[in-house]
Amino acid sequence: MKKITQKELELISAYLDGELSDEEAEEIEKKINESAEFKSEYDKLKRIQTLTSSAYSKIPESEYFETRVMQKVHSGNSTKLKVRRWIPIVGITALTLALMLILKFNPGVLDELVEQQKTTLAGFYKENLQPLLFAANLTNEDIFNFAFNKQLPLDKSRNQFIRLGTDSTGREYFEIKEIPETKPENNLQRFVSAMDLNERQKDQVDSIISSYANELESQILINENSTVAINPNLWNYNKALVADLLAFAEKSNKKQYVKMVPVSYRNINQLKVVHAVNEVKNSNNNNYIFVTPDTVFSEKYSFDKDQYKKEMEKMQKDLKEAKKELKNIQFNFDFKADSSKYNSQNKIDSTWIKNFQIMIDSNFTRINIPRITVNPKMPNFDSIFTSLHLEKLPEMMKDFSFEMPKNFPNKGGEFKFKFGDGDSTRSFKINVPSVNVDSIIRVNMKMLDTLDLKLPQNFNFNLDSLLQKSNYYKYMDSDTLKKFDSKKFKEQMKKAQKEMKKEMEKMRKELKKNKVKPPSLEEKLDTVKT
Amino acid sequence: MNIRKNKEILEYSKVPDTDDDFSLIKRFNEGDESIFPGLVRKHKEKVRNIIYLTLGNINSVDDLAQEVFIAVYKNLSHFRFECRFTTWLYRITVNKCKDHRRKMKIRNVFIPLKETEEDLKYSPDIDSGEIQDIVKKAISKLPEKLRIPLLLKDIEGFSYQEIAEFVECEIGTVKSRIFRARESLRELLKPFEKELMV
Repeated sequence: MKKITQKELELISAYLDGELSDEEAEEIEKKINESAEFKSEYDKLKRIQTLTSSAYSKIPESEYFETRVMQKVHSGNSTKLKVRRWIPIVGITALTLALMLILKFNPGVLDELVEQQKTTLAGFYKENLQPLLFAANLTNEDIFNFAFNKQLPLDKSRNQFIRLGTDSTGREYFEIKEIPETKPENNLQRFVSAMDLNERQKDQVDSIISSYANELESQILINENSTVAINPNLWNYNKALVADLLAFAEKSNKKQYVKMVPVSYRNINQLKVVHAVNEVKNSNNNNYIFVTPDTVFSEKYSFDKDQYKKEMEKMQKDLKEAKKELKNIQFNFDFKADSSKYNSQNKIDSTWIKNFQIMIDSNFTRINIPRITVNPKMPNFDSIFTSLHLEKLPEMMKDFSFEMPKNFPNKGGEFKFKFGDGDSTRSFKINVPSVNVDSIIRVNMKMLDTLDLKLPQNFNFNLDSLLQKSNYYKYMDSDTLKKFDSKKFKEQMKKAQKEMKKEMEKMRKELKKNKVKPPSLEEKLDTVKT
Repeated sequence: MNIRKNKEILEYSKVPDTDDDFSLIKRFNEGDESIFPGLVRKHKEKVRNIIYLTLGNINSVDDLAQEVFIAVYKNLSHFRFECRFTTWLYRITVNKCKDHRRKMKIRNVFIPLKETEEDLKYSPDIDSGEIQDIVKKAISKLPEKLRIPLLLKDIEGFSYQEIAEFVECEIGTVKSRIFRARESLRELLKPFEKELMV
């Protein structure tokens, strides 16, 4: 049997695919029909073809494919997209290379940058530093307390103190603290009297203390950026001051000194102290510790306290003059409900704004405003109350005393009472067979008639229209004010008078029935001067 | 025989027809871009299937098909009406697929895929679904130059002539490659001889 060649197998395959010419096809058909081997190869290839053609099922259709294609076509910069994808990588690489190059040729550049930032930041916090203690107006007592209690007031109105201390490891520290309610102890006074110092010595103590006051002032500085700069030399000043004071005390009154001062403080070498004090004063330590909201840093800072003092004195002078000028400024009060009508002419004087100050703290909020002079002048509210003479009332009343007997005779008899006006006391004795109701009524009637009812309207106290509209009106016992109708009140009083008269008349008639003659009051009065 | 009938149809279709595509392309080249979505709609499924067969998986079919049509959009003005539009379109498609596979190969050097092509394993009981899978796997093991002509012929039903145009080679080469593909497939499927009746 003839073996099937590669070529013949290819033809069988092509025949399966219908790719043969008519003659070729006929030839292969013939061979397949005649030869079992050809038939077998044909069958196998056909089986493979069937398997292949049934191996893949069609994939599902893609909806909106055209739309997406058209979108891409129009936005369609697929190449640009590719480029864009590379941009970050290229950028980072370029940056890295640039940095590498910069650092290679200029290795200090980063440090320089950081340093520059540091100095600008430090500059910001060092702006306008001013001595805090200058404003605190330290008294000699304060400085004396600083020497022995190690605390200095920063802001007396807030009880804020700077305190020096040593921790358990013996390190010195300072803290800014609020100490509630410190009583004035007059420690300096006590010191002076305890040491039994004479006037001259007392002056010497004062001069020692005030010499330190000047020095201390420049040790703590603050500014509006919430920086507190503290010179650590403050500690040395404290020690020097203590030593100075003690040395002086020892020198001036040894006997008292030994009694008072603990053993450890005794035997101070005078020379040593003087030397140490001078050293502290001349040390000129310009390393301040800056406490800022961001950071704490230490840097050299020179503070020219003499120049500052001069500036401050000049400023205070200027301020005084400015105050004088302020008094002369008159504000024209031009009331307009519509603020849009305001034009630049009515703008607030800029000097006023400068004097406006708000201080906000956890403890208090204070707003200082300059005094505004208004023309015409506002009425003085204090004068309103003087027309009431309220304060004079108790004075007028204090001299009168009136004493009534406990047992008031209701069926006639003797009736005594005392009446005093401060200078003299008069005692009245009335012999009454019974109560003379009539005369009492008459007196009362007179009183009622003459009573000039003082109503709010009569008190020269007119609520102006503005006040009546405002809420203040409500607070002035609004209920009574609203309900108080003076006419109605008078009518009611008159009605009451009439009713009383009727009642009195009735009583009189009843008394007459009992045949009791009403004696005149004058007859029965018997005045006795004491 | 029905195989000859097939051939007659194929011969008829070989003649470059003055088909709808030509008039559409002419309109497009005259500036009427509105015909383009219609053109895409008409040919997208064939393009997507060719991509699917060529790549062997469905994952990047749509992305690649989009790229094909974008390329068509950009190059349609260069179309010279010397062959049928579909020939030109499928050639672009096949080339895109080849490019894609090349990229994937390079990528796979760096990132080894989890799904490395598994060996065909024999298991005693096979059902019809599994037969499909086995055959698919066997086909995927064929080299590209054998696999593409085979699938274009057996599944898409293109003529040798057309396939030769798409993959840009001689008809004889296509004939021989398809035969070699079938032979190799038979070898690969030998372990399943009984079940598949190969």
